[in-house]
Amino acid sequence: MKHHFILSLSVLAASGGPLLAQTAEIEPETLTVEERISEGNHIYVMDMGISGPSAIAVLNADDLSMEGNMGSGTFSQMLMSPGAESLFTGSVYFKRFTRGPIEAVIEEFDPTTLSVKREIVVSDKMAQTLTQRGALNRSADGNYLIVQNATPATSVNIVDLAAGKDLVEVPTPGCWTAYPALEGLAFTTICGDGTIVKYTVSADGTASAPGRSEPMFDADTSPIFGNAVRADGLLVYVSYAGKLLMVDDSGEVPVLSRTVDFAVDDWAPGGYNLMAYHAPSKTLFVMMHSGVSDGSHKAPAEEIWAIDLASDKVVGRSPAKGESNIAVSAGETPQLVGVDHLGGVHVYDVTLGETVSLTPGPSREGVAIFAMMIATDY
Amino acid sequence: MTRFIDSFLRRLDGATEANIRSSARRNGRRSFLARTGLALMGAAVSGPILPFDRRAFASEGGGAEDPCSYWRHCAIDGFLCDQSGGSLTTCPPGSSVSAVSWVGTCANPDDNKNYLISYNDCCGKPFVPSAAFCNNNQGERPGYQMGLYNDLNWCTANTDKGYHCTVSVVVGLAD
Repeated sequence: MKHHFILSLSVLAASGGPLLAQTAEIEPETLTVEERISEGNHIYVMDMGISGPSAIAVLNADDLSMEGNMGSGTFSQMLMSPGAESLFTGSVYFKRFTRGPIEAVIEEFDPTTLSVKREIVVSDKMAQTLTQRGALNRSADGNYLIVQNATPATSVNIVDLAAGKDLVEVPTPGCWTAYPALEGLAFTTICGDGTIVKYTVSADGTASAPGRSEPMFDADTSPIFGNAVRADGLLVYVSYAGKLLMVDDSGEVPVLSRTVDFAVDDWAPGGYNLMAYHAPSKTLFVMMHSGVSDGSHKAPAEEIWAIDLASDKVVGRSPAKGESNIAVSAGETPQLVGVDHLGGVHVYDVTLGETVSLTPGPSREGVAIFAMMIATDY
Repeated sequence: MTRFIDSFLRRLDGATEANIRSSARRNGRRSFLARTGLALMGAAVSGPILPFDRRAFASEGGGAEDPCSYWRHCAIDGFLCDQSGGSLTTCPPGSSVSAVSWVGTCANPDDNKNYLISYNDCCGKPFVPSAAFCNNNQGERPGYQMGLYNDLNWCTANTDKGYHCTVSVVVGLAD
């Protein structure tokens, strides 16, 4: 390509005056780089790489037009910070793509310019797992990242953002996910014995003894998903069978605050990042499928149910489009965004009230190859 | 469930089940929908898992119409090694066997016994896009039961960590 370009310029120069006279009448185009994405609302869709880079597509929320993307390593996690000031990724770079040494990197992007603000090389024990909300989080004070490790022995890596390096690795054997507490540097994890365990970490890197709850579920007979959302101060987990576990993690030991049985008539939750919570209306959205069987817990959404966490009642059931991951925007008039298994992105307008309904808006097919998590900046 | 599958198929521009199945083989990983679609169809159309005649695999090593529904793949999540240069129980040339694996319990329709299946990844190579990507989840659990979790790169403990494909090896009786 470069040679052709030089050759063209040479021919142009050698061919003499008439041709140059003609070109002088044309205003040469100038090549520049777009400074940023548009003003307004945007949707960020993780296309997770399992053998190569991951890409985060950035779509205009009004018409789903493509505004650009960001790139990270393999098996990338994603976290949009409050106020959409930064988008963090945590991923693994394979130096020989498929073999040899690896390097785990936290990258902080500017979600408006789509450029890297900084990167931090962290422990290469970082879990190489599908993009999920429990694998990369930020402490309540914003000073630390909380990273799920798996070798596959599990631990949690605390990354000091100010120092730009790992603070401490907290062993969490038999446990998975790490959701930050609402105060201080602390996280809560799900353990295979049915307990929820909280660890608190001091600034010098000392981790507390585990604060282990009473058993809340049975991993064999009533398993829960790893996906959780924060709602009104509580951590909300959901079982394969369709029961919410509302966990108060404010004390040293997590406590089961209440449960909500919401599934009926052979329906159950399914998907990956399968829940989304709209705080202003206290509405929890859950992807649901029918014809439940052992192993159907990752089935695409047939309907999306709305649960009012003020009354703990299902207040809406809307048809879905086979989504495997959803998110909801944060404003007073929310939109729900889902992505299906072919990477098709679907936007719904949410009508709030005594009942909650979803009205299909724009869709865009083929946004991602291995579509996982969604985030919004609105 | 059948109704769901029907509506699901209609959303695929009128694609037929056969189209999806061939699409899964043709497009491999790109058909992330198809991979789950295959699993769903196994569940919806023919019961929990379509019990493929094991004899069909005796000579072909998993080359039947719907390889994802073969009984021992009941908790697999990945590209089939038998379509990547290996077999049901061998990794393709030049790759390495994952040092760790997840486990499933699958019923063999021939003798109605439950077998423990070790799902090992084969490592150190790129995946093969033409291989079927199967995603079945019987007994699958999140990472708090890591030995049952299939959303992890199980090549993670190897020197060469690149994910290549997955085998389904019978390691014992579960009963």
